[in-house]
Amino acid sequence: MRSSDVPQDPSFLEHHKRGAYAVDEHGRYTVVATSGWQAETAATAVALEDVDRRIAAVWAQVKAGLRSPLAYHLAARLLTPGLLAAYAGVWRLVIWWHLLPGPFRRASQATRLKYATALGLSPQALGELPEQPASVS
Amino acid sequence: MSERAFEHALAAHCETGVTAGLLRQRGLNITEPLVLGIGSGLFFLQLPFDSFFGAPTTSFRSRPGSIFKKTCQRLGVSTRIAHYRSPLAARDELHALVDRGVPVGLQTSVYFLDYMPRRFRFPFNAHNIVVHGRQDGRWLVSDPVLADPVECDDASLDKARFAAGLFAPRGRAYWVDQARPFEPGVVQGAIRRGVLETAYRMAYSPLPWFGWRAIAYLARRVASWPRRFVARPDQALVQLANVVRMQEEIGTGGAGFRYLFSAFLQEAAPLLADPRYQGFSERFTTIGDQWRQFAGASARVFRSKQVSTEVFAEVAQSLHRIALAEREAFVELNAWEKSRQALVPSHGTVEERHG
Repeated sequence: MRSSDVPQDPSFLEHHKRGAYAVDEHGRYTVVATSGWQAETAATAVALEDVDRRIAAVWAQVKAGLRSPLAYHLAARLLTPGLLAAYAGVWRLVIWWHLLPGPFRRASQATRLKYATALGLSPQALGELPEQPASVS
Repeated sequence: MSERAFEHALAAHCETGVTAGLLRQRGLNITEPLVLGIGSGLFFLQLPFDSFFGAPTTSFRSRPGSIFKKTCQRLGVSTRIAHYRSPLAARDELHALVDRGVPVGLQTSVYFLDYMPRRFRFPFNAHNIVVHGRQDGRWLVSDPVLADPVECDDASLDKARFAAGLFAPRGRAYWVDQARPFEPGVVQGAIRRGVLETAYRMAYSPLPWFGWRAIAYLARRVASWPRRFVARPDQALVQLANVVRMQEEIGTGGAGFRYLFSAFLQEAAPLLADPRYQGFSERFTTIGDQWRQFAGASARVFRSKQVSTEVFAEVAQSLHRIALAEREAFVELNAWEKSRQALVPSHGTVEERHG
């Protein structure tokens, strides 16, 4: 690719730029700052939409009372029960149990506080489901 | 050995950029493409599952952490790699090193780096950055994939260094311990070692999940997706999008490191006094262009959202052509490098410590 052909398309990099390698007019490789390429942005858009769909699906399940708000907060932060177990210091099996609405309501204050701290939420917000599912795109 | 302030330079990829930056700070004249070639950073892997602990199973690179290690070993540069049990110990040693003027490479999770653009902050644990100073209670960070230097506070850096999951960094920090100016022949030997490993792995990995065979395997997988995901066509698009993202979005310098590899071969030609390397460089540029065309064709599929056997077969066909072109190029590169005289051993030491 020629350095003059390096795409400068708007992308999810926002105001940042990143490096791309291309050949200059003398045939030498140089690093060129680029704001992005539409093809990669299209690919990322597909991936982000997929994440949004997953978050919305979990949100609907929580709304329907099939899963606890904890399940929603995990999905909205792109986390898994395994990662939460590591960050909150709670056993994975306990987290799996607390993904169900009934057991989550009966969870101890101490455990809720651990979840809330790990997720960067207030203990109050941990038990609540937002009006609309979050979007990453 | 000349010590100087760390200079932030834009790079295409995090680990090669960090390694080149750390070596340059010690007065060694090593560029990012040379690091990719010497450290055998180019690879191709396609595992037979859709995802592996939540991570994509297509990769254009070698194992995270291996590039720094191999580059320094082959160049005869003594390095230290440290892991820590507690964030506090990790932070203390980082303080001590930075106070001594030693820039430190860190393995981090992008999820916790708050200077990153929002949509790039997903749980991925093998992002490399350099910390080279401290000002007003914040770390001065050189993130090679961003054009400008950035800053980071203690809390988010601790979290980023002790993230959990696949490739958990466990505070991994690495720095150059001793570096003498290169003796004649060292860089040449390192280049040849890197080329041999890269070409051999790409051309002769016997399993279908590694090297050029993995590209052909990916082509077969792509062709099968419209049938496999007939009930949820959007998943076929998500799978294809993942391949393109691994190739471009995560910082490969374009075309899944192929352009970076061409740049390496071009730099190697005068160093080895071997004009054939310039020819190989042009060849890999052409292969890189083919990868870009594949990404462009995939992007048209994403925009039309049309999942049909014909469209995917066409994309798969272009991947298959790339697989054959790479096999031929790597087989020839390997044969050419092997036909030259034997290599002298290198003397780099890597001291690794587990907390």
